[in-house]
Order: sequence, then C-alpha cells, then structure tokens
Amino acid sequence: MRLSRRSLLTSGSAALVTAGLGWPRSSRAATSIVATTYPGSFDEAFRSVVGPAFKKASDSSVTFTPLLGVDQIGKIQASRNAPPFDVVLFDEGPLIPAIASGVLEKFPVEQSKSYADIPSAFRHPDGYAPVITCQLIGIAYNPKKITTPPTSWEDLWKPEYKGRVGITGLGSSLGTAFMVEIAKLNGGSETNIEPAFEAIKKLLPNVGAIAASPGALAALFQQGEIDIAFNFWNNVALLAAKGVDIAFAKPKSGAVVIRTSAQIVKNNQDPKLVLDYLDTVMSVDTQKGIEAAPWVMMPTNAKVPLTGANLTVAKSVDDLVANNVLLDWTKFQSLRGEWITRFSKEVKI
Amino acid sequence: MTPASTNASRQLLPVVPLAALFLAAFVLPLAALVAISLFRNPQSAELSLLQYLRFLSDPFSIKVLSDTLWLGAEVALATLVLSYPLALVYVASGPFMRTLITFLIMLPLLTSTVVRTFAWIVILGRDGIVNSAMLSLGLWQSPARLLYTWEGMVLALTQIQLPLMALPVINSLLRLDGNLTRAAEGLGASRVRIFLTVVLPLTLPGAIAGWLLVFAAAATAFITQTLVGGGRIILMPSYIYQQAVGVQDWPFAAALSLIFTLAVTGIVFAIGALSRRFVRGVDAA
Repeated sequence: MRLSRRSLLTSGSAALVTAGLGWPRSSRAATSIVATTYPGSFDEAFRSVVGPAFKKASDSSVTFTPLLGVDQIGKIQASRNAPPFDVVLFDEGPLIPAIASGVLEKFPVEQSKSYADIPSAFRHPDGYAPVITCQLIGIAYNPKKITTPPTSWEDLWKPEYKGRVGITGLGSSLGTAFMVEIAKLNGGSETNIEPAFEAIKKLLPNVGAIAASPGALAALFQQGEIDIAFNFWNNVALLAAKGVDIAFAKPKSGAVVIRTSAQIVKNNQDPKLVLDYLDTVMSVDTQKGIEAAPWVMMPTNAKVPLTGANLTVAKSVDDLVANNVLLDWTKFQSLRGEWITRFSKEVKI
Repeated sequence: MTPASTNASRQLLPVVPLAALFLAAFVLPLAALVAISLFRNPQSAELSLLQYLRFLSDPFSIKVLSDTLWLGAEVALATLVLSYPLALVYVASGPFMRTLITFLIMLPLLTSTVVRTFAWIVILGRDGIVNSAMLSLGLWQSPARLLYTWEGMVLALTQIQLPLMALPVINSLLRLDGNLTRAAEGLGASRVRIFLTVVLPLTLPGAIAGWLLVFAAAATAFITQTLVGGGRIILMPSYIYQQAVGVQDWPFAAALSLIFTLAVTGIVFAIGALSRRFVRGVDAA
C-alpha cells in the first residue's frame, strides 16, 4: 500500500468516523474521496444530505473538510501532485484565481447525468463544473426592533438606524458583492467602486459594528449588537429556524446572487467517483434535500421546485435567475485585493 | 578518533533528533518566509526589497504595528498593576487561601482561549451582563458600546493573560527575605515606602519576566483581538491574515510577519538586556 499524506488523512478520518459512530465494518465503503465545504450551515447540510446520498448512489464515502474558499487554493498549490482534496467549493470570485492557478480540471459534460437539468446561467462558460447552489444577498433585520420591513438598500442609511447597522469588509464574497451593488446603484460600475466608498462613509454614523467575517456578522444579531445588515439568505433562514429574532427582506433592486460551484481538482484520486459525487450533488433528490428546511439552500437544478421559506424570495429556479442581480466577477476580481486594503484603511467607526 | 572526540560525539548524539526537528519545523519555514518576503510581487519570484519599502512608506501599516505593540505594553502594564496586590495577599495568606488563590489563577490557563474570549463577548455585549446591570440600576440611559472597542479588548486580554504575570510575581515575592521587610519596618518605614524601596526592586526580575511574557502573548493574540476587537480594530495578526488569505499577497504578508516578529523579539531582548543591567545595579547596592 502506498502511504501518502492524503491516504493517511482519509483513512485516519474514516477510522475516526467508524469508531465514533459505531458503523459495522462490513458496510464500510470500499473507496472514498475528500470534498471541501464551507464552515457552518453549508457543512451541516452537506454532512446531513449530500454524504448519505452519495453513499447510497455509489456505495462510496466522502470525507468533508470545512474550509473557506481562499484557504483551499493555497493548500492545493502546496501539494499539486497529491492534493489534499478531490472536490473543492468556490464562490464565483475566488473561482477565477483558482482556475488561473491551474489546479482545477474541466467538467466532463458528456459523461454527466445531471448536467442537462442545470440552466445556462449556472453553467461555466469555459467548461468548468456548473453551479450547485446560490447564496442570495439581501437585508437581514431584527423584526422585533424594526417593525416596518426594509424594502431597498437605501434603507440602511435611514437616520433611525443610527448605531444599529452591521457591515463586513471585502474579504468575503458577501462584503464585496454588497459594495459592488452599492457602487452600481450610485452611478458606479463593476470596476468603478468609488461611489460605494463614498456611500459607506455616509453610512458610518449608522454602523454599530464591523464584523470580521459573514459568520461574525450573523452572530451579531444573536448578541443583539446590531438590528440590520446585509447578509446571506440561507444563513438568515437557518438562524430564524433556530429561534433567533431575524428576518430577510429582498431589496426592490433584487437580491445579489452568488453562484457557488463544486470543482474537480487536478490529480484527484478517482475521477469516476468525483463525477459521481458531482452528479449526486446536482441530482434532483439531493437538491430537494438541501432545499428543504432547515437548510433552505437555493437549488440550481431547474427540475427542483422551490418550497417553504425559499418561496418568499423566488417562485422558481428560473425566476431566481431572471429577477435578481448576477454580477460579472471577472471584471473586478483582480481589483479586490486593493479594495480589501482600502476598506481597512478608510472605513473606521 | 581519539577517545575524547568519541565521547563528545556520543554526548551530542541525543541532540540530533531535536536539532533536526528544530531545523525542519522552525529554521526552514522561517527561511522560506524570508525568501517569499523578498519577491517583488505575488506573481513573479524576482527579488527585491520592495515589500519592506512598501511597509516603511505606508503610514497605515506603521500605525497598525505601533498600535499592536502599544496594546501589548498596555495589557502587560495592567496585569502588572493587578498582580502585586494579588501576590501580596497570597504571601500573607495561610495554606488554604494559598491553594485557593493558586487554583483561581490557574483556572483560566486550563480553559481554552476561545471559551474565555466568548465569555467576554457575553459580559461586554449590548445585552451583556455589564450593560444589563447598569441599565437596570438606572446608572446608564442606553447600552454603552463595550464590545469591539480598544478598552474592551485591553480588559479581556488583561484577564486572559493575568496568570502569565501573577505566577512569576508571586514566585519572586515568595523568595523575598522576610527579614528585609521586617528590618525596614523596625526602622520606621511606612508600608508604601517598604513596597517601593524594598519589595518592588527585589521582585523586579519576576515582574520583568512576567511583563515580557504578557507583552508577547497579548500583541500576538489573534483570537481575542479578532473576537473582542471585531473587524474595526486592525492589528498585526489580523493584518497579516488579511494580506495572506484575503488579498493573497504572500510576499507582503511574509514581510509583515518578519517585521512583526523582529519588533516583538527586539523589544523583548532590549528590555531583557536593560533589566539585567538594572537588576545587577540593585544587587550591588
């Protein structure tokens, strides 16, 4: 047996899982791959829905590793010939440098069973793997303290919200998408961020806290530090399901859609299994699973009807694409580094 | 080989694994960090001192460094001020109280930093213990912002790092010869004078050791700085993380790391050297 870092890692974690859950040895899968998830609700949904579905579909197992998008590229680059993951998760922004760094493989369209169900807005123009879920950015607010639901992004600037607004920097897709959208609404564009910086300076009297990350921004609602902020729909829905006083409002200009895809890593340990995994994630059954409460993740398979809380933000997957905002990240991803540093320097409360 | 050299190499043999580990886990990564910091930009490996010049010519970066070092100094000073009364009570106590105080000092060390930090979030938050108490007593009209402030961060770090200061100070107080304070008392010195002229100078080595430990630990405390300081206070650890992970500018992040390491170790060595001279002076006197 060849002992690589990865085989040690996977067998190690498989052993831990086996020991921890007391699975009978006979049913242990013969083969296994490693896929990343995002920490938090993403990870919970993937472990609960995608893992079991993959085991059922292919009699193989998948080990999930929660990591932020940007952390993944470095880890793969550090070990290109034996990468620590077989499938990685990327928002559309970080996906651009990941493709440029040459660590990802294109998606074998003709071999895929689920690809036909994915609308064109969710297919990659250069042939990389399609989008598996979307994150919608809108306005999160505390319905106990803000009784009139906000209707537009401009509401954040209302004087009555003095000291109650939360924001986060451009290190995440959340902060970046918000700034670009604000720039566009104030006469700027996907490359001219200037109006957004001017607008955010006018917002400062209202800002109660600048969170270090989207997760921290959501936690600020639980602590009662802030009452209104831009945030991801599925984070809000999950918190609301857990009893936190939080609701979501879609701005009249449309929610900003962040497309998240699961990509194939070059030199992965089993290309057939990796494709099976992607097909499982895109399949109608799995997408129905992650769409249901409490996960309420947005499906990208057009055959999956929206239900429950998701119906409050879109009627269907097609409606989701047609009536919300899709940004062209290729135009500004290269500018983000400069924006992140500038935000730290200029945005102070 | 002469018997002497055989003996020497035999003595050195056990050192080899440790030296190899030190080389692989510390020297080599540090050398890689130095090499990366000399890259002109993240895309090319062309060598230059550009990243260091960038740091020196950017007032924002210099302010982040000075703020971070100042935070370390402030926390170290606060723990020092708290440690002496604690240590004096300890020395004056009986065996039971001593065990209790030792337990209370050690308790935070046995808890994870993340847990201790979250406790501070609960205490300092808008709906936290302090704000609720002040509001219900009618002392405050509206909740004060305690979390995500500089003062909140200093307070949390002071509690978290206190054991690092209290233990060396207690240790040096225990070693203080009781006859000296009794002699001063017999000669009519006041308690304040005894503390300032006898106790403080003779326990200074312990206080300095504690000061250096707390300074280095508070300046580099990424978790507490991020969670209690929030996104609005940028200090060196979060600045390095942002440049490496968010901006993906590894050469600049590497240069920042080296500058930060040099600044912290520089201060530690300088104060260590100064105190040795000073303490020797005390001994001679």
